[in-house]
Amino acid sequence: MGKTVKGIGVFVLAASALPTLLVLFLSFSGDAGLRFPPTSFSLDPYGVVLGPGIYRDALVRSLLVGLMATALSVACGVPAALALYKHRVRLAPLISAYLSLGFATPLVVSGFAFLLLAYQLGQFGELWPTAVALAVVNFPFLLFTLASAVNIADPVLEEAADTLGADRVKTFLFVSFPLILPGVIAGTLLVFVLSITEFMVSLILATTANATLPVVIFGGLRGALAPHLAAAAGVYVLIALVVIFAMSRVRSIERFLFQN
Amino acid sequence: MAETRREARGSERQKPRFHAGWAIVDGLSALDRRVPERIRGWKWLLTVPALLLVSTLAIGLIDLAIRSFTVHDPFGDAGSSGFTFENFERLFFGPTADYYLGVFIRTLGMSLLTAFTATFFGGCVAYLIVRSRRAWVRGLCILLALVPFLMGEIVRAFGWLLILGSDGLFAWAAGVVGLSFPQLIGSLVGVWIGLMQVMAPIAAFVMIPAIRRVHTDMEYAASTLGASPARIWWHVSLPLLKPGLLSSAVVVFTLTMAQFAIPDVLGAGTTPFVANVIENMFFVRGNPNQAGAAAMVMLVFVIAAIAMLLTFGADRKRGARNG
Repeated sequence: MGKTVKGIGVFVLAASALPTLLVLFLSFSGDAGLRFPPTSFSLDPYGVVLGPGIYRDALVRSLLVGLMATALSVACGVPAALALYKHRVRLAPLISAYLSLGFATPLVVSGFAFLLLAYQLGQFGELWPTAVALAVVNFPFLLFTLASAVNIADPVLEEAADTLGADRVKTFLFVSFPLILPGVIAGTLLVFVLSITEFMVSLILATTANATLPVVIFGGLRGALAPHLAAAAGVYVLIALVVIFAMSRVRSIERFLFQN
Repeated sequence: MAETRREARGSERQKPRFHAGWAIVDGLSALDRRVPERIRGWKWLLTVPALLLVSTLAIGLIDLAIRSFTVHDPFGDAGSSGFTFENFERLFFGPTADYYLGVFIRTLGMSLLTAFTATFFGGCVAYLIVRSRRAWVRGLCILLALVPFLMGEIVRAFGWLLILGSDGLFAWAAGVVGLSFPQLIGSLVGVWIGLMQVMAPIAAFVMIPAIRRVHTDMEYAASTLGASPARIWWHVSLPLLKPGLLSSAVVVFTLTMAQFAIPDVLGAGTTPFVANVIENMFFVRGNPNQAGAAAMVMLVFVIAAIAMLLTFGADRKRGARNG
């Protein structure tokens, strides 16, 4: 029984690793078009992506939008998580349901809601409406991660700090915040990655002036497939690996996955 | 640390060395003391930035909802007509109503299928991660599940295009053996495979906490009492897993209902989902009000479906406890 389940699990993981490995493999293809197996290998696809041009511009925009969305999410999310899950303010369940609006609403609907908003403010085509939209739709993931981090933190430690003469600011800075820090880091990295890889909302809000990398890759998928598309996708595989490494360094993967 | 600092401040002979970090902390403390006691108690103030942030979406949704009840006038100010159900009527009874119904049924069917299959496969992955005894096996499994999750759906769809496409890995492998590989790009099978890869890791992450709650002791206890593996599964593990299975199914269902990229890329435009049709209405046919109506129907349906699934699940749970 357990063996069969584990066997299926191994199969699923292997099957989901296959496209990733294939993208990485073909991103070194030296052919003009993408086909398996490649007849020659080269680093040119990465040159196309990282050299000046639409791909690098889009990558820079993606990172910029990701940073803005993450900063917004964290600035709004950490205080909100403390109020909701630690201080348990009145109407906390209702407020946290409202804050999950971006998760419950289908992304295509959110996208058009933000499009109308950006259009009416005369900001359509700017980068910041995309950043706000991504902050709203990815914010619930930060909140969920922080909720478990706040719940794990032992309130007795704060009382101890209080007894030892620390004021509110010092208790927060040296006791409460370090306790939830792994959760904050996991949530921050998660929101950053989800923002730079987000596609639907970014596509709806995109013009040629503010298209992020997923949107540009998507555009490329509609025509003849070229190796530099695989290289652009390879950049994302690399980013995912770096983030997982960072999360494992602060031991926050387990916190994020094994929340009790 | 605060204690030593205070001592240093107390004794005049020992000149405290200026430390920028502590100066900032002390400054913040001083600022904090100035906050009136009454306001200090207002913890809800902490939620204000988040509420404002999410309200941008709420305002946009309200705008979209209002638009859906007015008719789009391409030559005038959008949304200038009076209140009307015309957009909804066209959606349900217009000349293309059958097409919309077909798209809706396809989306619903694929969402239900994916909710079941992704929960099953994701559950197996979660079981593998939770029950692996060796740390490196667990780490490797987590890595393999996280990488596709963090890559984004476009890169994942692209990967499957390279595997299933006519110049892809499987077509080449079949050619080597001397077979022909069926054209899966543009079919619902291809879309389902892509959806599985997106949703199975998500289902696994949702179910990991649930599977951790099923302690091996309980299964062991049941087996020492003479229960067969099938009975243990049905009477011990499954009831414990039920909340996890349910939330996984709800999450996957919701996310699949809103899918756009996978049906577009792997369906090659021949298997549109609701999101693809809405996008088409808005951009290609340039009728935001009609798209708004479709978006509203979708929003209401998804929220109703979530509510129904959760109530149904809660009832079942209560029934199991009584029984």
